[in-house]
Amino acid sequence: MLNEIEDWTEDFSKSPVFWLNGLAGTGKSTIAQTIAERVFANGHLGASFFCCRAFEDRSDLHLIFPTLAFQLAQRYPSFRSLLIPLLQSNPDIFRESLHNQMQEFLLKPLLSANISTVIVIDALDECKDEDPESAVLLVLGKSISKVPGVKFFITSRPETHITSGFRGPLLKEWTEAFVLHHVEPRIVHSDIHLFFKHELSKLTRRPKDWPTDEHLDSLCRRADGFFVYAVATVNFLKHKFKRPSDRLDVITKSPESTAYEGKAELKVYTNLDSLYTSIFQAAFCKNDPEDDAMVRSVLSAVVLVTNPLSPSAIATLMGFERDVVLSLLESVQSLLVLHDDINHPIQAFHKSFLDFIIDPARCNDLRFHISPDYQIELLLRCLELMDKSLKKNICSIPDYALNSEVEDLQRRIEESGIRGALEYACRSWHNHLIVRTDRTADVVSALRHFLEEKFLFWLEVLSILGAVGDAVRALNATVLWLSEVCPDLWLVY
Amino acid sequence: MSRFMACLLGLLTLNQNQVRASIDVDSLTNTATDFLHFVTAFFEVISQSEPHIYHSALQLTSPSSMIRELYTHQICSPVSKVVTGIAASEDSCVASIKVKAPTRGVWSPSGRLIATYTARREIGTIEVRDSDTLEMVSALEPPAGYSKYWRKSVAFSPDGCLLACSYNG
Repeated sequence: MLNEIEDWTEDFSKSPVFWLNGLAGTGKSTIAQTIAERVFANGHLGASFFCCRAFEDRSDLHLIFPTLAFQLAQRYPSFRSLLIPLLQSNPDIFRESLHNQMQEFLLKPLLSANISTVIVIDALDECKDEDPESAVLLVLGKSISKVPGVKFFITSRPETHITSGFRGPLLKEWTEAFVLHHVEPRIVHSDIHLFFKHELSKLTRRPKDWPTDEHLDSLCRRADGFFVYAVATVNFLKHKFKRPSDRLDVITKSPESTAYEGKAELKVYTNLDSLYTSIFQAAFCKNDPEDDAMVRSVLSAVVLVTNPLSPSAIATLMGFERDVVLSLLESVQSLLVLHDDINHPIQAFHKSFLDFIIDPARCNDLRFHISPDYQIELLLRCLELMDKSLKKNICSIPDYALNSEVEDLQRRIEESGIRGALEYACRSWHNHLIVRTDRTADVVSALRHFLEEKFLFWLEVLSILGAVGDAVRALNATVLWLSEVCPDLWLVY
Repeated sequence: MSRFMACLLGLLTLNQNQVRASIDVDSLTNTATDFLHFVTAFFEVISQSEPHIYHSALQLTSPSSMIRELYTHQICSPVSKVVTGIAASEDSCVASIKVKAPTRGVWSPSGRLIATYTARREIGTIEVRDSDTLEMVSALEPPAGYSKYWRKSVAFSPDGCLLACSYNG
């Protein structure tokens, strides 16, 4: 499969676009990563963009083309010399329409420099795009015939707006599509079998007796073609103190789903979902309801934030003890990417876990389900933290100075304690303004207090961080939110 | 009967609460909109300098704006120093004078007049304007017989009645 794609990258008589289409957890990003590495090794890689909804700047459609242009400029001197005058005459590349970005900053210089190259875009579905037909693909479709030397390798889940983008009249004849979840099940099964056998035998001192073939068969049946299932299982079995064989029993004894009663399109994820549920139940079996609420709070700060937070930042933001947060996260560490440094941001190990935990139809043990109410919880925590921590001249900037004149600005920022939770709160609170909530009154009064007491101190932080644009976004979002909740408010009071 | 009264009373209080709630949201919307104007009008200043949020942006914004109303107590210095890039807009009280050559200006002690010195093709002109309306009050040419060079220096007398300027003999 990898070889087939690699051949495509080298053969310019083949279609210029390759679309790798696969369900969550079938290994798209791993393949994209490998392809990007191989193509980079033989010098054909022009640029790559790995979309990721966990990061604001990696899920913004308007950053894709500028990022690609920037990388191409680093890679090809001829491209750079063409791009620089374009940027000088038009520095506001980020605010241009996608169409203009593509035309002016990619197509023109690529054509004039006559470059042949490969461009990789991973997980296009992770970018925020409301259009019925993917805007990026629409622009790509209009341009692709004009640059014969450029090939695009794109991966995504089969979401409607992307599928219709690739099937549209502009792109269809230029695209080679490969559907990962339609690969012969036998081939995938044998790969997963091999993976289990290899990884599990590393966990035991007696590889001959364990895992048994029965274990392996049972695991493979449950994985049902999803690599992510295999990875999550192995993560779960690797535990410092508990015996892997006991942990394995937890999984193999949970009922294997054959009949599924929910929505048909969720059926494919049933086994994965019950694995996630087992992991939670094993980690938090003796909790009382209060503990469960805390688990949800902490997890919401992992899965709902628009830029990943570190364990210590989560503790500060949500108002828990650092040790408590850390031990809680460690107990589900098979689902997370944890670092030894508690100031290092953490993320879910795989996107399918995010999909699972916010969907009540999939996460049916509601003790662990993160409902949209937690958006409001996060919003109020952000406002609360800002209210508590913001103060005048928080970084002790000398009077009348320009920010650029303060030589040790970075040191002052580190010492002021803005980094981490407070930075997140200042820059991202508005991302958690959602309309459907029964806590509108709380939000209105918290917002009023914030605007009337702390507004200028908040602007100070954004000025120092070079992020005043966030203030514009936040205020716009607030005005919009108020106009949308206003009718609801009649019911609340 | 009493039950009916209770119902009516309940309805009345409910209505009052509703009215209060909607006023609450309206006033908050106004505040947020006003603040948004403030940030966009002074975007460059705020981005360039944290202290100038108070020294320039807050001082130069319209005195009738809500941000001034709420945060007047934060204005700490009597004189504002302006960093580059302030946009002239309805929201700020910054206005601009169109000039065709390098210009320098001084305020009269009362703040009611601005005198500007402009050097153009080696001939200096001095203009005195009303600082509120920017209307020209008076324009001065070099006196006859003197050199065409004016020094770039203009100053008001402390009582504001006289304007002194220097030139080459």
